[in-house]
Amino acid sequence: MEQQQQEEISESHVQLLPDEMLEDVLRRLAPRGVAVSHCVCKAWRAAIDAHKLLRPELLPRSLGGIFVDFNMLVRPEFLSSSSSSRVSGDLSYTPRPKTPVVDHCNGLLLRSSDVVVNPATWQWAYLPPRPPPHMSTAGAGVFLMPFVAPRARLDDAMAGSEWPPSSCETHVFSSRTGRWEERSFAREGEPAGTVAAMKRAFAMEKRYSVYWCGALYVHSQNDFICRVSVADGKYQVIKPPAENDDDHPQAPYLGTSERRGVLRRTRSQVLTAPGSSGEMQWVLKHQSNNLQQVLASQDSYHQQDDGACWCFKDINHYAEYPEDDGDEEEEPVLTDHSY
Amino acid sequence: MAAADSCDGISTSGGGWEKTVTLVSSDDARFEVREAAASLSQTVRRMIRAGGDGGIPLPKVDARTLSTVLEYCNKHAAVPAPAPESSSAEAAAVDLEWFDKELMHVDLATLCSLIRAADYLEVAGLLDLTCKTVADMIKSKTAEEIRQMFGIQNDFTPEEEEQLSRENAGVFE
Repeated sequence: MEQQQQEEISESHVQLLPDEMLEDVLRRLAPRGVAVSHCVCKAWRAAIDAHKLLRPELLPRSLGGIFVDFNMLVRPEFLSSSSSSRVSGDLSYTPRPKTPVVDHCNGLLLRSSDVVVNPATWQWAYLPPRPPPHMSTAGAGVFLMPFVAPRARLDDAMAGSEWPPSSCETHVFSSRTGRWEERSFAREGEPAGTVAAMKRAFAMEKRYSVYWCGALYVHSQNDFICRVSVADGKYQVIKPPAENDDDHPQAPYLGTSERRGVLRRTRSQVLTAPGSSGEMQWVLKHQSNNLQQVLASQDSYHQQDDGACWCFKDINHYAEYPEDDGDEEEEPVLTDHSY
Repeated sequence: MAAADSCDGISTSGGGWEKTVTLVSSDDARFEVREAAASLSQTVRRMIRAGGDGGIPLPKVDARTLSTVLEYCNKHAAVPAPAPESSSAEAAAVDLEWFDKELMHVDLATLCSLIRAADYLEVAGLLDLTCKTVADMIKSKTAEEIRQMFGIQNDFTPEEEEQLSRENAGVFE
């Protein structure tokens, strides 16, 4: 019967639903259905764009695996959630495959500051050279780099001025136009302090930046986080949590969680970021004397509920010793049986 | 619900005194309906208030579609003075849900006519029901299946297609 209906409709060539009613239907779809509908035809695409129905940040994404970057090894390893995955830490299809991965966002990897790799599709592209003279860069949609104070020498006249400044110019790489664009960002709310105070901070350890719901969260000097809204050209400073009880100060890990948004993890705390508007206060989600112990006590390779197994292909080892292929003990595929 | 010749009037059908109105479809079929049911349509309600003779003309709705809309309205309009026999409110809700489900067992073209009619007549409940039904038909389909379903031509250029597949890598598996 469905076949018959389809033929009937195809022949009629009538626009079944005028735009405003099409929108009525489309806004009742879950984010994934909207994303599929966005690819149907230009009219549907326009209806979805006009009413801003597309919510890419809410699309369900399955976890394909985790890249692990060992400092002393040449290639990143990929801990895969499925044995048939074609994703691998072996990035020999990209230029300069032995250069390190310096950052990542939404499943894309940035290597040696100018090659962007999509390990799921085996595609890669050069990032065009960043125009001088700005040091801090932020990307719109694809790649995001730290938004930290320039380490240039500051003269005394500047030392007392606010950091971050009330507005700042920077280059932003747009994945839409494929170009770096000069953008101006205006600060909302209080500054983190003065330039002098920031100057004392040691700036160049590994810093994290994450992209969540249209905003870039960048770990900046003195443990402040800048929340940069790419769409409206504004940024805010989020203060470090009041009860920062870390004995060994180290840069907190910034990450995102589907349900809770931006997370800030230190040795003892997991906090969620303040919402997109209103009070910029961290909310405590988990506290422990030593969170790392808790994490370490978890068995590293849990069998998944559906019986699938995680695979670790030791590509660094096999690249060095390809003849080791049949060695039982070195068997890289973990096949835990159910208990 | 057959064609009736009266305008607004008093009817004795159904054993009680009830006010009815006559609605006229685009193809000149006349439907006599309880005013309470017809008033679920905000458009009709306004026209009743404005008054007029010879029935309310609805030039954008054909007889087949209008009869389904009125089936919905008759069921959903509170029936005055119901027999207090069995049905609890819960049972009534279940019954209504069942009725809605049955009413939506129609082909896509009919559903879309119902959406257009519900939009024009401003029957909020029916608009919601029909849109939800079409959304449910779309939700687990691929873009190509949706095109086939609606008879839509793929009007993207190959470059745009490539762009789309890049944007959506990993989403549609």
